[in-house]
Amino acid sequence: MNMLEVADHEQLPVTHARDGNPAAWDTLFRRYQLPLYVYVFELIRDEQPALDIVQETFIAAARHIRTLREDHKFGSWLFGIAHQKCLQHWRKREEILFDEIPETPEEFEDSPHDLLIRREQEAEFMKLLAQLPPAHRSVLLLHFVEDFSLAEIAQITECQTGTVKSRLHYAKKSLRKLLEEKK
Amino acid sequence: MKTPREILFARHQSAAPALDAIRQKAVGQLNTEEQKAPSPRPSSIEWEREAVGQPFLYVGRKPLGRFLVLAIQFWRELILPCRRVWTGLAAVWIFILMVNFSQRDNLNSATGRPAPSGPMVMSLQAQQHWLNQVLADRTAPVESDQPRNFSPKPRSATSRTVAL
Repeated sequence: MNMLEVADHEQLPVTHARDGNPAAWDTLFRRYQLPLYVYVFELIRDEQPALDIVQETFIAAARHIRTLREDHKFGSWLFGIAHQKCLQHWRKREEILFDEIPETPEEFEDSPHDLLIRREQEAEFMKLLAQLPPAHRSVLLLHFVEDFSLAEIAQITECQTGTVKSRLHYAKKSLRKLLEEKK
Repeated sequence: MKTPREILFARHQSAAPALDAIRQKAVGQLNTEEQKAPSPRPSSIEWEREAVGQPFLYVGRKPLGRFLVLAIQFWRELILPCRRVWTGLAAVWIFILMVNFSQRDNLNSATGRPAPSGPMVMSLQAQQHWLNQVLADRTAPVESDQPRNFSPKPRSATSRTVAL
């Protein structure tokens, strides 16, 4: 299976996974392992803890699958678990989690595919992503990696939709500014 | 030109072998747990979706009754999502029933009269007997009490006595 393809949620064997079918779990894990790792790694910026968090997320998902009410929300539910694991990781290291930047809700409608990056700008993009505050980075990654809706990102990060909208706007604005400067 | 998603995935493609190992480990652990504690559901149960997307429950290859499927759907869609509300309602009803039954018991004990004792029954019977004897004469109707057969004559046939 090509990892870059986003499988249709309806085709995922979540129902079989609920019944404890290992093959179904294997399919689900295979589908989400790379997106989940990208999200976790880019948030905590450390390879081994990122792998550990992905593994813990898989185990927690298998244990608590019965708490998932709607099958089509499996993706956002899984990312929600991973997000909580990242927060726990930060708490252990006593790092400041999400520094507060004044939120100014603005209209946000564009999709992650609107932003195209040239090959020579890739390194700059990664550098900028790493420089973003964790709260903005988290929202931007969820938007880029899985194209989650604002409501889904709000559910994963446990904050208001307006806040997500504002953070996403701020992050994309910073990114665009940088990419335009480099042209 | 690439999308941010493509760039991110390409950057982390090198982690794929480690992620595969993690996935296999997690699935292996799942298998072990499955063997240790078998699922309460029969292993032969499987969900299948029809063309319309409606789930149907099968045991082996025999479909379970429509009623059972509906009952499971009802449980999953109506009860499970608001289980706290249902639990609360059940608790309230249990409380109401308990109060109702306790009050009914109190009412019975308040209005319930003790059964008359043996001597009292005998005394009452004696009084009843004496009363019957006293009233025995009055049971036969007295002549004065009987209604008279009075049939009035026509006015012309009545005799008048005129006093001079």
